[in-house]
Amino acid sequence: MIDLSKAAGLKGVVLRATPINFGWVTTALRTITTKHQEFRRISIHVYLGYAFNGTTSANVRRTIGEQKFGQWSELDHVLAKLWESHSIRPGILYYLPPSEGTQAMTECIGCLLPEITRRGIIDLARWEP
Amino acid sequence: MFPDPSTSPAHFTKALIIRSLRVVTTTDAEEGGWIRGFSRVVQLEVGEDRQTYVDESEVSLLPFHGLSPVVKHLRLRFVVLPSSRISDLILSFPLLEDLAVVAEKGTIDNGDESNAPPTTVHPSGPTLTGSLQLNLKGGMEPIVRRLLSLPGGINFRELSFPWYHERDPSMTMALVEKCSRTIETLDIICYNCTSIRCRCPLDFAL
Repeated sequence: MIDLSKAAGLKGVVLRATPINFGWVTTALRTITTKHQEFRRISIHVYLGYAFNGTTSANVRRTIGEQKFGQWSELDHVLAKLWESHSIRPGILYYLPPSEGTQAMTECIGCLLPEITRRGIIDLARWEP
Repeated sequence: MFPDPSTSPAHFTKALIIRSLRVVTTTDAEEGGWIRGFSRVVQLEVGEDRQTYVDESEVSLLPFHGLSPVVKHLRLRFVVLPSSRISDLILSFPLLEDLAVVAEKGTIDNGDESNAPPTTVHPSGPTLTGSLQLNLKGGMEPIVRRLLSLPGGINFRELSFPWYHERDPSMTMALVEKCSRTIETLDIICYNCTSIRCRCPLDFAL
């Protein structure tokens, strides 16, 4: 959907999506290549609405469905590759209703993005408007 | 009143915000009109909101053409975007760097304003080397098509858009390609791109 391959001077992107619609984010990030020598910042904002109420690491896969879970895995892989090629720590900023706990959601995102979480190359923060 | 315009506070004003298009008439913009006193404005915001909005067909941007030759930052806020009247306004500011356009509803093509004073339009256009923010609930296409056809081209470093319409991704792509040599930051909001028309659940006022 978004091809950034020609924008060689790109320094950063801010991509805001929902957890069930991440395909375009991964597609856009896949077009970042070694030609993007100035590229240093990836900020992904996730709107985890009320549909995520009560979601835990144990049931997140079932909550978002197998197909969407696969999209997160693809994103995880792409972000790990970008760490290797550009040394970028992606920032994940998520919005969650006030009633939901931060710890449970941190664990959920750890499930959705296992590789970059395990390698400690993710900056995770909760956004509260 | 200030008989000598150079002693007027307007002469020293750098930022001007006009929240109702109806408070400025074409007469106000003529030689000696009050708005001409703001000739050193660098940051200009023009528009309307739901309280001041009456009828989109009456919207005229003529009084603001070339308001100040040193405008660098222009923000336009509408309820309904008068898309056909944007280009000439942009062209009238030769030093324009940053552009933000917000429309709360849709878009109307109410014709150009061909009776604009020719001296206020700079044919080569501004360089547009700063940021472009579009928040257009009726879709980006009408304004993007006009931006892409500006005679001086566009060279934005920062692009920022929420996507509301199915054509918005392709319009974003067109802007990215056009600015591919200058773009440094891209900011996209898409919370429901699988539907025909998207609505952001959060209020991301630009």
